Amino acid sequence: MNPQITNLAIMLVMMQVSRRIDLEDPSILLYVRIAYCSSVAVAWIVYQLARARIVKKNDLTTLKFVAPANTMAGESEGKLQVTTVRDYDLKELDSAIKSIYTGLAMMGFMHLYMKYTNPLLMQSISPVKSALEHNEVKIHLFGKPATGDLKRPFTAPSLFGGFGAAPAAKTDKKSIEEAETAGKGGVKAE
Amino acid sequence: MSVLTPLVKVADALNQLNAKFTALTFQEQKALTITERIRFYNWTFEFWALGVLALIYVFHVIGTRINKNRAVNLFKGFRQCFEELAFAKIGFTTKSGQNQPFVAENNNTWFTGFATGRSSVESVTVRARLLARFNPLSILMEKSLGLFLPALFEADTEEFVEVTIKANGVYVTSTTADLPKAPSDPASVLSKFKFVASIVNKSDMSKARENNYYLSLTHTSESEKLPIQYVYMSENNQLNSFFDHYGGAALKTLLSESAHFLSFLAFTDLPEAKPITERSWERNQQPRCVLRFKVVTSDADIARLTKLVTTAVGIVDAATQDYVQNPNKAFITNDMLKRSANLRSQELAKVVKVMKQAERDLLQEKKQEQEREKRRESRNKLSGEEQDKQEQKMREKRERRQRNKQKTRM
Repeated sequence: MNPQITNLAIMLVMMQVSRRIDLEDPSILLYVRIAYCSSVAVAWIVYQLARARIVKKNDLTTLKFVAPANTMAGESEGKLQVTTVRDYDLKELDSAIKSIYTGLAMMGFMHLYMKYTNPLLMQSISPVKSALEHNEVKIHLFGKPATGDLKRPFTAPSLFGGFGAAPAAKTDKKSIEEAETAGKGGVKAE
Repeated sequence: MSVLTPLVKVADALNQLNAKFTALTFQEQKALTITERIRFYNWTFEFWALGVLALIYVFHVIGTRINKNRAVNLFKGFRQCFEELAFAKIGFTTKSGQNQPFVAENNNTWFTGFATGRSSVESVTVRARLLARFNPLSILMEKSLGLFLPALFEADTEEFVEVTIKANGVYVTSTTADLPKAPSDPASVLSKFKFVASIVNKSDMSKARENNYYLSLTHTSESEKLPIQYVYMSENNQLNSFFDHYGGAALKTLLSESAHFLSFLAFTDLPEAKPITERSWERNQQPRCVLRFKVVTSDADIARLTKLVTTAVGIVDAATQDYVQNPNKAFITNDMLKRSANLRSQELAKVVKVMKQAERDLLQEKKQEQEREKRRESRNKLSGEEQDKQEQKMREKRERRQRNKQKTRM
């Protein structure tokens, strides 16, 4: 099942649960806090374990692909990425770890400063779920082969199947060859 | 709850430190002597402020000293290397006649070294860029912002050493030999260096291509001739063997020993920055060898780094010797050079095309601006009634156009 749909379902369920729980009760509040913190800690540990495996494996196979254009940055054409499997995996994992930190900061603001407790409860499952569903974790911790959906570069799954999905990276020989000698490097800011 | 509440709380706490003093009336304060006032006033905040200032000064001194020591160590290694390579002039001479191995700029963060006067090599320039260690707060800020906005801050938080070896196309047989009286045309020898061939560390591939125009024109290929940590980035695959031909097995060993600090070793004649005009394309072509490293501090690494520079100079030497003494033995053939020349003419055509398009756009813009100005002027010359008439005409014209558009849509 699409992870985004299950995320949505979990969110709705947790929303109902949070309505039925007395979050004003200090002991319940403590349990909710413990649940959220342990969920984040478990997710962080899972990512770090996968990270350690990647570093240990040190797969230096070259990976070339044309990343889709970032329209937000004013790019009209895709950019060639030449990296190694190790660096690609580390980059993917680091961005997941970074999203944990961002989530923590947001939650810290909402809970400690704005005094909201509902989001804490709603977010107490998704960090672990996201960690266990992460492609890198599947490959390096669960030992799944890097083929099919797990083939690098990964494609972001869309909520509505193929429709509305983010453009995928190009890996065909022609696109790579064109991008490789396009001479787009060395553009210096004035 | 206001967003500024924490700030207000801090300000209140600070004010509270001297609540007793500020509570005194003007007359009471006036009645106190200077020593009484000094005793009565709570100086905690001022002491903390002075402490912070002292800390900033200490960081400044330590940071500057660390950078300077690193540069001194690095350039000591380079000096030894350049002396072994028999460069006639190493470093810079100050006004007082003293020799300086390097020049430091920007508060000991940018360092430049130089050597010249040697067979085959016009000059070697060493540029080292270190972090602004004297300002740990800015480093922390840049690093933390760089985590979330890497495109904006990554370039400023990077330390590197870059060595540029420029070829001169003049070969002298030994260090004691005189300069050749009739050197074979140096320009024609230099024209044989017009190609791009490089060895790039796999962990820096994308960054190297992004920052260097000449690398973004190359094909990336792995090879068994290279240690696993590197790839070739050359204009065509034939050029990959250039390193094997002139560097030999010693280069391979050295490369694998330097994998943790060598970013790339490139032979190129094209500029680092993408040329945007025909003139900048022609002006910035200079056959050279570029070596880029991460900053190293240990003696062993500095020795390896300088050995790599020696090897690169050796390659320039050997290639120049071949071109001068025995062109048939040279690795770079006319066929390879022809392919490189083709690529250059294609790239130049691209630059010219973009330039012409930009010129056309500019001209078009100017023309439109002139027309607007003309219309405005002619309108200003008319009387109020005539202006109204003209506006009415324009309005009708616009409406007619809109109606026609709607008709065609239907």
